[in-house]
Amino acid sequence: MQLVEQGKLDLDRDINEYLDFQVPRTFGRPVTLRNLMTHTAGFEEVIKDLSVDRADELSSLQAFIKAHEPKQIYAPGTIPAYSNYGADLAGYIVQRVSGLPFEQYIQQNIFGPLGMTRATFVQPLPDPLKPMMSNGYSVASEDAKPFELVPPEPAPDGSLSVTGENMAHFMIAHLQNGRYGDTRILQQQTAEMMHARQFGMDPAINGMAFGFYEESRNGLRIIGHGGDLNYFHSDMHLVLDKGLGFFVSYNSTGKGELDPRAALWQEFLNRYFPFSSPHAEAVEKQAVDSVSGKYLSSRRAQTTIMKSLWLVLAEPSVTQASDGTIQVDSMKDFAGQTKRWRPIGGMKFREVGDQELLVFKSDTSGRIQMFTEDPIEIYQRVSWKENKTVWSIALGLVTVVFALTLVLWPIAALVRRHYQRPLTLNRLQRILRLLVKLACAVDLATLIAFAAILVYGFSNLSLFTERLDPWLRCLQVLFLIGVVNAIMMIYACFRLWQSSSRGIWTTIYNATLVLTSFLYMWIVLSSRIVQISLQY
Amino acid sequence: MSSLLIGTKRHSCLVHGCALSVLIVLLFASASAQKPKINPLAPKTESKSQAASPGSEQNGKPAHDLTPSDLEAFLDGVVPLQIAREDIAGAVITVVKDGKPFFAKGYGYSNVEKRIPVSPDTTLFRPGSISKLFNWTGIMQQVELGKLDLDRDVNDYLDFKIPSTFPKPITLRDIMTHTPGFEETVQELFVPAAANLTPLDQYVQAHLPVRIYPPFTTPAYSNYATTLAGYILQRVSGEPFDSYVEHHILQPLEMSHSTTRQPLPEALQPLMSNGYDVASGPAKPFEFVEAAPAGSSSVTGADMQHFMIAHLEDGRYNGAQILRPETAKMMHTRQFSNLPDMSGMCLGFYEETRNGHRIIGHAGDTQYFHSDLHLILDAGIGFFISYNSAGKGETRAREAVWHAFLDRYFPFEPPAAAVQPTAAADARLVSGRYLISRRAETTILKVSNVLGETKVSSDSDGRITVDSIKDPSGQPKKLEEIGPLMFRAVHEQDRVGFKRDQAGQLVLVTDFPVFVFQRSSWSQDSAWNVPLILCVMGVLVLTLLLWPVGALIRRHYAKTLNLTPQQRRLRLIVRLACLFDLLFLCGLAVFFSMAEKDIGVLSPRFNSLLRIIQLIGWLGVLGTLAAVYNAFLSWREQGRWFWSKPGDTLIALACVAFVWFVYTWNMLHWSLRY
Repeated sequence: MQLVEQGKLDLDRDINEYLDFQVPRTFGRPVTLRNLMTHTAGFEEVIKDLSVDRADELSSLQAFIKAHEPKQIYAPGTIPAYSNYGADLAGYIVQRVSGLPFEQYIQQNIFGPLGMTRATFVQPLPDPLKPMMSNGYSVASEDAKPFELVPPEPAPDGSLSVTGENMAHFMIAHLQNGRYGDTRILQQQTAEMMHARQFGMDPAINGMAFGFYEESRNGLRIIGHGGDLNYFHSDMHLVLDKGLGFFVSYNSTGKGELDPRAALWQEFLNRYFPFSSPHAEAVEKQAVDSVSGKYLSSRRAQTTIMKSLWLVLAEPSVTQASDGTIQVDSMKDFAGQTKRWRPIGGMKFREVGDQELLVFKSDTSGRIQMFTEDPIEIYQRVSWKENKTVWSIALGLVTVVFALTLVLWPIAALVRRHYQRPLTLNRLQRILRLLVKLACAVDLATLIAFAAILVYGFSNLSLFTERLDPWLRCLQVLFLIGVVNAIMMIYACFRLWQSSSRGIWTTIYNATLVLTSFLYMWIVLSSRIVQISLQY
Repeated sequence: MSSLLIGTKRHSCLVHGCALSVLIVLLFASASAQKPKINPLAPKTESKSQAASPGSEQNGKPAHDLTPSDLEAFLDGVVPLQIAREDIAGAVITVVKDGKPFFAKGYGYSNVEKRIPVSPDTTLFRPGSISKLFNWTGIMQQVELGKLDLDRDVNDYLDFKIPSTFPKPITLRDIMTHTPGFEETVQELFVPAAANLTPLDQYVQAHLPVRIYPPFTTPAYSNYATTLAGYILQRVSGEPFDSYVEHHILQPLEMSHSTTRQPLPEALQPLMSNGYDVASGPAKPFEFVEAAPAGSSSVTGADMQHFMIAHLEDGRYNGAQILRPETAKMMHTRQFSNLPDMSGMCLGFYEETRNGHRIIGHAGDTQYFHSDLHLILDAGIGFFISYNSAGKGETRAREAVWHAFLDRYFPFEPPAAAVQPTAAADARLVSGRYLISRRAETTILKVSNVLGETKVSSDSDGRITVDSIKDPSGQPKKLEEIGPLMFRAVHEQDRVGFKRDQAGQLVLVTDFPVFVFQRSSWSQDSAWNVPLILCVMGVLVLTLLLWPVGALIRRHYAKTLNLTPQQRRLRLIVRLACLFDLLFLCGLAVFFSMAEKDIGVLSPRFNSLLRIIQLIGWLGVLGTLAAVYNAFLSWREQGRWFWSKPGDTLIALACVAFVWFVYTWNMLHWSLRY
């Protein structure tokens, strides 16, 4: 915004004009800085290289930006989908247009004027700051974790280290519309514009300002921003019309039974700005039926090899209770109970006993969307092809059938030996039968390996770097073999069924294997795990 | 960088899904989970022995001035979020200081549905075992009148006789220090409706427990003994218990919104707070405590201020004198201790010394209300807290508030202490399993011991952990040896001491003096008893599952079992025995989980159900003979399938182990008094 003031940047110009590479016009529309600052550039979620273990693995901002460009999955300016990449891209533009390295620009134009002497984007920390750095912890009762490195170096989306006191300077500057003491980091009207609502899916609920997002509550207009590393979890809130800023940061993830940031902030607001929720209006049952189902966040992997993860693990489910209220299984109160929401008309729902709203609205293609008070993403109802339940059943069935086939193989052999009833199969049948078992083993092992990588990777994000690529390639080859296996299995089952006694059990078993093979192919192909690109 | 939205939390769902599985585990989990609730009138083991200091990081910092406004701001910061996250509907906290009410505030709702807020003046709570203090105060009034002698055989005051199991008779001093030595009895502690309440004399005669310790040796908190004392109070005063308390305690103390009567007098009924398991669940009905003197009262937070003032002011309240100063002082003086260095028992009150102050108090739990009362004698401060819901139980709510209060207003740094050179050897010595002294020993409830043993483990640094002593985040605390067999939590003040009883067995002592923990004997060590019964269940389940599977496979191959009709019959009997064994274990587990949900199940009304379960168990025990005989035959007879030998032997061993387990844990005990 400082560079906008200086006329060096235009919020509505194609960012390609500021770049030394080209962001494609996937939707025929250019991406602008306004899009980046409202998280509506349309980028899909990428997680590769979010974290590294060693400082020498940090790439430069320029190299990182060019190597990690995600696909655009929404037309710019239409759907909010929080993007770390978008923030890095904006930081890169600051660097190019100002002619200063990003961290130096911030130092000279923000930290310097605001007297923020204990704040830096530099990683690893400069020597004078090192002794002041808090340890990070997963839980306090376990060992301290090493300093977290956020690629690239510097990372405009999150490599800041700062004291609570220094954050107070920054909050004061914004609460006073750019002025801090005798200095000014932004002109009054620029700051006001930055804090004004710029994008929203529905007027009734919170929207995006520039960079800040609205988190209005208790009748107050509030803007702010949360922040999470693996171990540090922070939040900043500006109650603009009260001139009040609030910053909290925890140095541990904790057990996760409660979201302490949200709890602290809401209790703070309730104490000093009490608010009684509006009275419940009559229930409209009709409106409710049409919103039940599974939803997918707009902030997701859509085309990368990680797509299946969102389908299997990250789909909130909207259900309707008999009294007309709805529940979203991912939205819970502080006691861990799923919140209930009462229809208040116009496809809007209010939290029972509290104030937050949910708004449902169809998009142009008729797909139902759900908007929450968290404006950085929306939720889109999924068809059966992306339905979590369908995926879970398919995965479960594949795993169970393949595993049982393998487990029962030696058991059946023992039983046959016991009754001295060897299989009467010809050579081809024998080979086919063996191939089916081997295919089950390979397919099952591949699925388990992929699941293991994901489970391990999400607790150790630094796994997802290019060093994992060869392994992912192996996995892709195995999945490809798996698809070939599946086709082969369908053929083999058919042949075995044809040539055997065709007893009812043989038929059922072979039919189950055929069905499972189709399911496996469908899972592999629609999860996009097999593709050339290892950007994810 | 709000980057980790799909990070840690979501994949943990996976891990969770895998963990939920085996039926046996579930059954056992529910059976073990009922343990804490089965003794609801008493303060819970965990809630006391696990001292936590949320404010330990304040050590070395100056104390905050205790002013009403500072206290209100402090509690407003702690309590609303605490009850929200614990799913607790409401709470009341009252504090007195220097003989006057100091602070009173209600939090949350007494009725969630109607959104009626808790009022400290007019909302009634059930303080559970804190009611005992009314009983004890009444007893001391009778002692003052010379009608009772603390050291006389209580049989002198009774119209029935407590057997002389041990040479030393039981006295009121034993009862008031929870050392009469009775075993635990839980049947009909609560009853479902007013109509089920029986008069005191019937209760104390019908539920007289077995004496398992000589008097004044081993504390074992006893609701029965307290009720017995209430009965004595009624007999020597000539007034019914409820009237006595009303006339001699509640009225002089102007506790106009308090009563021990059940059901509540009509005037008080509209003031009663609902009780809840969790605030998001349905309201529960008024609880009827059959052992009334042990916990039947209903009080307001403000009324409890009067009672605390009376005790802090040595018997005096607003002109009334309910106890003489010397009597009150005696009541507050230590009478019994497990280790001289640690908190001991006064008369009815127990010591809960902390942060360098001598504190006495009493906690109380009904199924839904959970309360605590603390008197900091040397500071003239009294503190009462009561919650109207059990909550989710993730945090120990009362303890968290009380310790935070102490750390804020009476900060404390534990004195430095050198770790003993014997630490490593002593840590190994004390490692093992311990049984709580307050337990069922001769009744069918004995089996609950196997699921509730306390485990002491040592690490290579010579530190120990006690599995029930955890910090507020649920991590077991590490304790280091700072004196001979005296261990203290690292950087904190919570202690665990060990001594030897007369038989030379180790006894674990905590700062919660109403019970101790005794080293488990070899035969009752859960370390191998639990795996044993799980293996037994595994064998039984597999036997039963493979029965039809085998039949189907034989049918598939058109083979039949080559057995004589006699062998066939025996085989059937063995499998039925397995079925009965399993049904018995599951039946008992189901009974205990029913009791966990509703303590009213622990009543003679359910004896017929228990009898049926026991009948199945007896059939299983008889079937063991068949299993053993069958195993014998399969070794002896020629021509049987080779694998049937180890198979039948395994089944026989499982059946024998079942019998051993059932016998050891009294599960087929004839008497259904428990």
